Amino acid sequence: MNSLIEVRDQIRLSLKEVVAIVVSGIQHRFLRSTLTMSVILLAVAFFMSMLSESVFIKSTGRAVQAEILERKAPTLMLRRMFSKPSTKILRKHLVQASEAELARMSVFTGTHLEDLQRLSQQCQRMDRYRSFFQKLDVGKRLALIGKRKADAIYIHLQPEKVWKEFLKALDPMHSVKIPGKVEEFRGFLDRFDTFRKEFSAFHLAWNQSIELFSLEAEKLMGTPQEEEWIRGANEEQLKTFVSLATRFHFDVELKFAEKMKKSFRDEHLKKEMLKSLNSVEGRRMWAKAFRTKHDLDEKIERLSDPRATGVIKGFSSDEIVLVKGIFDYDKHLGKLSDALVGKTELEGDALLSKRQIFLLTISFLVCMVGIANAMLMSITERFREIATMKCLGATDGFILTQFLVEAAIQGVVGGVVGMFIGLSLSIFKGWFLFGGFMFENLDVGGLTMTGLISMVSGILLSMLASLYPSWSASRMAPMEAMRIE
Amino acid sequence: MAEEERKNPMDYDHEEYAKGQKILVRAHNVEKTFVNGASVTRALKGIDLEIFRGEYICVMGPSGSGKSTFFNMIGGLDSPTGGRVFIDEVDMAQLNAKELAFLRCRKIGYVFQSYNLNSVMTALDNVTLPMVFGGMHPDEARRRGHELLEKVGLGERWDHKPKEMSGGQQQRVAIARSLANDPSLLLCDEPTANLDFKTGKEIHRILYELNKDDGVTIICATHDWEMLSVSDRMIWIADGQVDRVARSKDVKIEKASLGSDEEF
Repeated sequence: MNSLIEVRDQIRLSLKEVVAIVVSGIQHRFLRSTLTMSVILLAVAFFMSMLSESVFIKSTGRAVQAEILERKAPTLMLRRMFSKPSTKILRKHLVQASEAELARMSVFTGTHLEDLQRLSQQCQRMDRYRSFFQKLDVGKRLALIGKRKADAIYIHLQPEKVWKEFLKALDPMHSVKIPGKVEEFRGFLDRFDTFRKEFSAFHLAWNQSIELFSLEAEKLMGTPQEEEWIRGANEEQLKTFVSLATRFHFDVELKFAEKMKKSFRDEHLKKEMLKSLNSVEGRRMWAKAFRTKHDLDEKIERLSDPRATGVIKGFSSDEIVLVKGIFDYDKHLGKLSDALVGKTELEGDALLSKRQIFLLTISFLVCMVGIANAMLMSITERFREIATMKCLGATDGFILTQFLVEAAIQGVVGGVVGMFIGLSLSIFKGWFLFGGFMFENLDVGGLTMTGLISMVSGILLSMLASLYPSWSASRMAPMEAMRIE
Repeated sequence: MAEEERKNPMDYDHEEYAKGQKILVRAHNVEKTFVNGASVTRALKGIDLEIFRGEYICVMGPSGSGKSTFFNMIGGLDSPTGGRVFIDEVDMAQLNAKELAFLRCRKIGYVFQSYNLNSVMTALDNVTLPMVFGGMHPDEARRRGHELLEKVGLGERWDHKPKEMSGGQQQRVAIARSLANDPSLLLCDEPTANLDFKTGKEIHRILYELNKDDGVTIICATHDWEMLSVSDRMIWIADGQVDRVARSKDVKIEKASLGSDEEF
């Protein structure tokens, strides 16, 4: 049969041709495409700002915390060297000590390293159980252990009879779980008396070593005012002090000793200046110079005022500038740590805190819904156009590819621009909260990572969101698509 | 049963008319049922028709008669729920999606009542779109696009967008577009319904010339007497069935009696 119509498969357009059609389409409906792109952009920007803000807070928070510790280090070290610690503080030392620190402690107290490691482990376990019992609500706590406090609990639970009752009472409380295994807790209870004995032995040894060190130090310094002595010590004296501290296995180097010296000097200067400002004479002169009364904070604010220089006698202008600097920096650090309160749990190595994960999940959902909606709209409103194109010979594959390519282009543009907008927003916010401190501790790697994450998720989401509507549109018979409209 | 008792809608001797003609479209007991939730609409209740190559057919029927649905069945724009449609003895139901796209692209041209032009593209881009789908080289497509626009009298306005044109001009662009890949069948669904009398007449002239000069088979849904008078056969569809088929030369008497007022 000589048929005039010979039916073959419709040809497939190359990706290049499809891209050309899509690009001209985007140019033609520029406003509508811009609208879709800006929805993607906003979603990505929102997500990005949340992500990068958490990176800022993390890096800045760590830096602030380290800085605060660093400032406190000389005082802390001095306290550790010269005062006998309470049980609580010593336990904290043990829990926080690094391997090297433990080794030093072991030599310092003459305790075996293995014993000390075991003690440290026991202390850690104790902390865990302590926080477990602390977090119990009142009713459950009463049912389980009565009104006992901390250490008394462990002694109370030791007898077999009480222990069994405890387990029986614990059994129906499904939400309450002893940290670790129950057998571990029982083991801890059994060893508790030994632990206490060992710990007090360690405590005793520690205190004896401290006493010994204090004696030696007093011989060296000739005064019980160690802070004052360090402040006034010359290079030679500092070296002797360092060698004495090293002999007692304190982690003190010459550099650190110098830092101690400077820090104590600054502190002393600050105190002296405050004293002079607060003295009757000082207050009178201040009021005279400024013709009004100021409280202490306001006075500190005005320290660089030339009138103030005249009032604070006995201090050089360099010293005044120095003290003003210390005040300002302390205030700055205080503000920074205030800004961080509640934003992040700085302890622990987890990249994100629970709060941040919650916020990020929400913002990701917002991003997802926004993009899905934008893509869905931009396809369903063009059902008629799709139907017409199918009448003119567009294949299902072409329709699908066309919309996916369009989604990809819009996703890339929206994602890149949104990423930068989100980044600048969070940088602005970070700058507002932390000032220059944020830029000094910028986590460039983390930011690049978050930028990539938000960009890629923008592109992927817009493609994913357009996948279903364009797939269903491409498979519809042309007239079906027209009827829907 | 009831189907059997139906009277033969042919007003003429079909056997004789069909002699020596080649069938282009054959509809065999075509049915279409739309299900929308609980309501079931039987749009087509079994249509049998033969349309020959080179014919000019007018299809008439009140709105809701199933006329447009029938058009979509022939054009491969929708699939029937029962029966079969053959184009040149090719069963449309046997074609896969790609073959259907091929058929729509090269063998069938569509002209819609509401033009359905891509509103963001120029006239030329609209006309060349089917050629792009057909894989024609862009330069060749542009050349042919200009040629077709020239043919419908819009050679000068190739770079205008649909909203810058009148309805008649838009419909002429749509006709040029439907001719892009030299189709053998042109399906026009009320092409002049949205146009005034004078512009409608221009469209008639273009379609008539296409049929007579280029031998394109045209199936046209219309109520225009102007168009009916030039057609070969007329088909009346009512209530999803073929009500009557007549040769236009036999109907002319009726037209005179009915149409004397209608002319004005």
